[in-house]
Amino acid sequence: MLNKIKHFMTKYVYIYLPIGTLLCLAGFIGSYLFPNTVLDTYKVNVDEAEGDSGYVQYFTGTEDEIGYMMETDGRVMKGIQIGIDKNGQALEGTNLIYRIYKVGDSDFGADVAAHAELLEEESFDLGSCMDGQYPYLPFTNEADTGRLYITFSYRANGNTQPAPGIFMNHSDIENAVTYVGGAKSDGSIKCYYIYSHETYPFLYDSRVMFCIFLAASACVAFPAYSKRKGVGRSDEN
Amino acid sequence: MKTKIRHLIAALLILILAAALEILVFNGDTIGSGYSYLRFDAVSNDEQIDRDTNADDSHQATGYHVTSKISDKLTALSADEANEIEVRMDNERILAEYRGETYTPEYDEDIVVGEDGTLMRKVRQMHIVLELGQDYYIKKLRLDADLTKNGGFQADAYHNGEPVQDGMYCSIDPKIDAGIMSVGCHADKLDITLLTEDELTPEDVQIEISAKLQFNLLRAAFFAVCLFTVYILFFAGKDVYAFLKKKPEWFFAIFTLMLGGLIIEGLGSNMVGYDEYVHAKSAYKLSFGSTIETTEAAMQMVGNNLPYFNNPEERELVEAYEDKVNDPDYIAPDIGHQSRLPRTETRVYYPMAAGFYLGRLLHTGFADMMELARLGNLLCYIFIVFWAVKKAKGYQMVVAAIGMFPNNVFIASSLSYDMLVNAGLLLGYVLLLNEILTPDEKIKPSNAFFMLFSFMAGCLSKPVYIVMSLMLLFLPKKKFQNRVSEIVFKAALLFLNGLMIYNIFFPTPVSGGDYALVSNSAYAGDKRSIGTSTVGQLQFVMSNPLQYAVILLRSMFGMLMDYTVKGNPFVSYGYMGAAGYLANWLMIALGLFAALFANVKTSIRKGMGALTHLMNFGVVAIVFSSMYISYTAVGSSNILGVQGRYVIPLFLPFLSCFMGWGIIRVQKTKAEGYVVKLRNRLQVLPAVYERIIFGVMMAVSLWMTLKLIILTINV
Repeated sequence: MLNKIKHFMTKYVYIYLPIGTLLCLAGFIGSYLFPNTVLDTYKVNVDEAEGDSGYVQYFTGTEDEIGYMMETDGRVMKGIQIGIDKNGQALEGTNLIYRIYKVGDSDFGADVAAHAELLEEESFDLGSCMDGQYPYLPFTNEADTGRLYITFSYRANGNTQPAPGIFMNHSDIENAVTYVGGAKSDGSIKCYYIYSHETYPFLYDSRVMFCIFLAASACVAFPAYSKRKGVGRSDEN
Repeated sequence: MKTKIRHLIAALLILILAAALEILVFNGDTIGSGYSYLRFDAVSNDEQIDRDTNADDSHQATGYHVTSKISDKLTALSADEANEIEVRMDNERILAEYRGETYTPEYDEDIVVGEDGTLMRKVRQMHIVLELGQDYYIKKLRLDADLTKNGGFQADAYHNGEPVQDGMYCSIDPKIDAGIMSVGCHADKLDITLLTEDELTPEDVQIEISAKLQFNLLRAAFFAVCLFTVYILFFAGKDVYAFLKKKPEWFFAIFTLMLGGLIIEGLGSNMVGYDEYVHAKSAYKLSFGSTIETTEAAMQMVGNNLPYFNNPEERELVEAYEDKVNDPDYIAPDIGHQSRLPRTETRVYYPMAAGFYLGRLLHTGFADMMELARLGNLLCYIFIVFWAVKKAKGYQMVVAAIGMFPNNVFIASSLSYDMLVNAGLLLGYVLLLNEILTPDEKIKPSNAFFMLFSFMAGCLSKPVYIVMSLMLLFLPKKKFQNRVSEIVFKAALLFLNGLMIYNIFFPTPVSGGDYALVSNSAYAGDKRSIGTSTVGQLQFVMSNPLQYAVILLRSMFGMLMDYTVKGNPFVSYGYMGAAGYLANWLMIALGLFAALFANVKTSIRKGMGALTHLMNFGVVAIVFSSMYISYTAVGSSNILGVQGRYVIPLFLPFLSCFMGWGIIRVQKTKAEGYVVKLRNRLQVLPAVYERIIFGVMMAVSLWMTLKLIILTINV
């Protein structure tokens, strides 16, 4: 059986090695053309400094907004994760509303939302996350880059349960400021920034295997050539 | 039939003798000791303990009493501990810088910085005197104390007022709350000093002396392997020797499996291989799909925080602890996620990952799961090197000797990707050498494929070695079908080399939150060493090429001198220790012997020999340079981090220059004439050449296993 396989492999080496070379070349090119996009999570301000203790900033009403000014360092932001305190309630039907504004170089202070360009407005069903969880709030606009101002508020949708809150602590974060009730807060939102980048899972394999198949194919005595030159195939030497 | 019966009887005798030797050699001293174990509570101020309260004492001792005294002490940290703290703080500084935070160095509260900058630790010492009242043979001394931080105790044993053993030290890991030391002498009094950072009272301490007869399967297996080796090499008979001569790869596989098995079982969960915890992390993660369940035990494994055992008794405690914290019901595991498509470089961990996976599947203990991971590595190594030995044309024993080199077997028996580096490059170079030794035969496509594939697999984690394959550029055109096929082959080879080297500087993007940090060249550099910067070091080399050339040559020749003249031991079992300087020369002599008397039909041409030496020099220079760039502080006058094991893949190219010496020349020199005559003589004797090589390799490896693994942590 083993000998039969060996014989088969030897006999048709001039077919499958070039095919392997072409497949790897196709994989090589395909990997470049169709990259895989993955999300990167950056822990920004989740752990408290020594001696600090975190706290929850509850919304005082549906008009209340908690704002967060940040800098994406030129990368497109794909979302944010913030800690949600549901006040021990289920909050079925209650939505967390978050708006993303693009801020220029001007400093508008707490009144930024009135001057900045609104890029998108999204909502998240608070009933779908657990109390204390950091749900992923996706951003969909490709222009979510540079200096951004994100506001968080909630829409009760007839729900009479107590308002939810956002986890915060007293850390200072570089290039980020939190606003509560229109004023700059002493604390900062505990959050993770979500970015993305492209990966090429088969690029490395397909390009090195392309070289290997190509080199091995170069050692094949192709039948047409062998016939013309009157030499046997290399594996039969 | 008769032969089979003879082998069967021999096997039975080996097993019986091994068991007898284990009892006599390692348990003989306990026979007639008159007791199994005695346990004492270290109650202070001369308080005599009522014997009846110690219900589990196997034998009633009389007339002992305990005194204890407590005081404070400052002890200097060891160089390793101090360096660990400095490296940690430097990495914290880099991370803070990366996050844009201000870094303030902080020491643990128990660490005191002396006036001269020495790091000291505050400890409390409790002095305990244990008057036994009569003479006991003490094999083991155990001290139990409920600690929260690392501690230890020192013991002196006295007999009739005279010290018989002094300065013995044993550490106590707070995870197992006990330390057990081997004493091995008769004594009637023990003077014990307990050093801890905890505030203990004498009531918190228990002491036990013992002289139990304990049959140890590992030690018995060691004796069995010794006896088996002696039987195979001296008494097995002509049929075995004929088989040995014809198929040495099978003997390589059996011997290596036995040696590796002893190492794996002997080490248990102790992590003493090079950077094992780093490799353990990758292999453990790879053993899962996209959701990783990291138990507390696994977390300690990847953090290099598992407790270390020094003897079988401590091993029991350590393994019980590991099983306890590996239980997801005891401590909830951490749940993480990863891409289903692991990075290419990570795939070298599959053999180990398979072991971890199998361990979980079979619900083995945590230590057994680690051993299975190591076994996966070992089996993969044996499989690849088996083929390397089998494929070698006339120089099988050179390859077998390199395959059985103790450093290689140890690495294969550890959690390390270097196994694939050594095995892949060995197989790749064997296939390459076959082509060099047959200049008139055309390269077979299958050989070309497996050769380059082996080189690629061996270089996945250490791409710099791919330049070894550049020897193929110098193959004569007779090896190819025509000029076009030669050009295509060599162009593909150059492209392969270029791509693998390119990937060092510009790796394919990784997934995960560390993307920016990993792909940011400003932060590139090995974080185990302080002051590294890939970009900074490259700038230094570019602006001071002559100065760097001097540093490079001095470091390379310095290492060569260290191992050949200055007495630095090379043959080693990782952090367990080395065989001694003499073993260096024994291995060099054996390698030359194997190469000179190998049954090759021709030697490599002179030009190819010179190119081989040049390639070896080049690879070593690249290895040193890569460590200078990634592991050494910018502008340093020394190259740090280069270890002798990095040149192991070059053993075969080096030895290949000695193969078939004197064959080609018709007018031979006297020396060449002797070598050729002896070579011919050796080839007709019943596997004498093979038995010498296997015998020396087994003797050195078994000696190292006894000295570094059995006697150090299994007695």
